[in-house]
Amino acid sequence: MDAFFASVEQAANPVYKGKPFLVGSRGRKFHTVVAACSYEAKAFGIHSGMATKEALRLCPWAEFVPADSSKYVYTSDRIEEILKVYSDRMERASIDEFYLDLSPRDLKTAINIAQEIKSRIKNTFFITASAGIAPSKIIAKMAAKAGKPDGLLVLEEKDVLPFLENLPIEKVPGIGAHLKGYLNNISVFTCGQLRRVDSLELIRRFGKVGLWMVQVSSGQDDEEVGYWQDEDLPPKSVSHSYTLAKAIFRGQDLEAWILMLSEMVAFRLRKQGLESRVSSLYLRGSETAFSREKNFQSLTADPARIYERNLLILESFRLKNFPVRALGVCASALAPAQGFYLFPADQKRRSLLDAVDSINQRLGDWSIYPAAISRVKN
Amino acid sequence: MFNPQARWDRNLPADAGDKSEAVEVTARFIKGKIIPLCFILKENRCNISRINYSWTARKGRGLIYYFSVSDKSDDYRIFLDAEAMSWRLLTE
Repeated sequence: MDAFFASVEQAANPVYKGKPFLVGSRGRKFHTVVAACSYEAKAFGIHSGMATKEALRLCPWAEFVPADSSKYVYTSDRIEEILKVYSDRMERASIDEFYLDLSPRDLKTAINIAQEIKSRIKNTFFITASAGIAPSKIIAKMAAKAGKPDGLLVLEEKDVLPFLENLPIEKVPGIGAHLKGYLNNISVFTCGQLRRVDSLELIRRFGKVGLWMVQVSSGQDDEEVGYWQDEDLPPKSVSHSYTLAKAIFRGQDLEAWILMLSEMVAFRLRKQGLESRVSSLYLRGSETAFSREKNFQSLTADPARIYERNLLILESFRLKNFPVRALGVCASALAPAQGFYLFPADQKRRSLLDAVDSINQRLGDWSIYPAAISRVKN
Repeated sequence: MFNPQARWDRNLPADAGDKSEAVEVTARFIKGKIIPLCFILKENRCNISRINYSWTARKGRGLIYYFSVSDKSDDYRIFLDAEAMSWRLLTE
């Protein structure tokens, strides 16, 4: 989808049509990042991920629209339903990106299907979508991006290398600032130049990532599109992450964020009747990131225990004056919940969590939550 | 595979922090669809000339049906809380 959140807001609020505006976190106009912006705002150099303060400096008259996730999730779910009709192999890559495997159909049929999907989305939701048809997932993604907005770019096998030849390396999903910096230093600016770098050198320097770069620059990608039915399979891990409006340091705020994300992870575990043995914590600063996972003996879906486990991991980072811009909490090594507790205190705790879940399920999420979260929730 | 439930703000209801007031709405319920036709706002009748967008959101066990609508001059957001069976107009 093209500028998805912004397009949905334009469809829902005609007053925004033709105007520069940005979508950001509700109630945090000057302390958040741009989640999406209209094409009119993009003309001023505003882009997703930019601090709203900076965006509003570039275009002071741009409107700020608080994000309304229910609207976007609803639209994304309906689009997913449309896509499921065309193939069993359909994968949701993000809220506004989908992969569809249209093989073994011929190219003409694939083009017709892509056009039909585009027009169904346009007629139903009044938003535009761009599509890329290519022999592999990553090339299709890059083709869709190159065709934005409202485009349809078809790359046959023979077109892939010419397409990549002059494509800037930063357009490859997965090549971020760090890799780009390294590649630019060795005078690699396009995928064509990347293809001509000694592949052994890339693999020696970057390992698996190096091998991946060699493959992508040659247009190779063996990853298959998953089956949408697999969405119902139990997850291998459950995680939540959040990018903060401004950097915070170690202290009560950071701990409150970890608690909030632990609550969300634990709630989803309990909802699916799962418990986790491994906890991981991820902290990202402006330049570096810390990530560690720890294996524990017992299984749990209790937010307090997941939080304690994450605090232990936090402790192990030995952070001093590290500005945290984003953080994530993940629970893995999942197993079905045991349902019995050896100690009465654990049974009591479980009853408490069941009562909290039941209140939140009856009245809506976050109707009741630990008071410590109030520091950061609003 | 991406899970939209993983978004933290997924847990915030769409009207979090918004103010709303009860409104009387005339609507058609036809073939499983809800089509609001008009509503009374401060004793004035607003005839809905266009439904710009509609979506649903879950709030606890209840379902909320949102409509972004326009009359001849203005845009409004109204919603039906299916649990409380009440229509409300978002005022902020």
